[in-house]
Amino acid sequence: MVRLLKGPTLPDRVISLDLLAFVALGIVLLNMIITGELEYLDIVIVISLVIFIATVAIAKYLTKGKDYD
Amino acid sequence: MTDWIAFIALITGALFVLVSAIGLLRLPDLFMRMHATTKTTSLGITLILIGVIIAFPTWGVVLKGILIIAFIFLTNPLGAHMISKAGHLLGTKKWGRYVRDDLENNNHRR
Repeated sequence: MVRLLKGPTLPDRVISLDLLAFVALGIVLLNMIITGELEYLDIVIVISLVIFIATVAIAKYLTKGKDYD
Repeated sequence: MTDWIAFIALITGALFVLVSAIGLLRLPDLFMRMHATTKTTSLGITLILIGVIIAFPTWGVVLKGILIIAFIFLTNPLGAHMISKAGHLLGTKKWGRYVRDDLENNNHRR
């Protein structure tokens, strides 16, 4: 969270958001253990999909389509 | 007995995620922070999911859990690689004591 606010460049903020999403995923899994409701696993699937899509989209946006070629 | 195995897996996974957060806060460079976060969160979330699978051993939970583990192990290195390549292309500041950087030298050779 500190790195998200302080981070010197934009990729720092991106990886910190990535870690924050993984922590949210862990919290959802622990909540599933505590309450015993099995429907939370669908939420975990959706969060893990969204993490990947967001990371790839931000990386493509940062380089603006350029690449080492 | 299975409760204790699930408990140990959950605690170990949470510990791995904590180590990843400390590494993100303390390391001096974008690439080292990436190294700290991507691998440890993969292992930590996998251990937490194994704990969930052991705690609720029904078919739907086992199938979805194995699906999520496979998906995370496929996509997490891919996203980290793309972000680090974008950071290197943008020219983020590197730590002072790196020995070699093959991606920079690659452009001269061609």
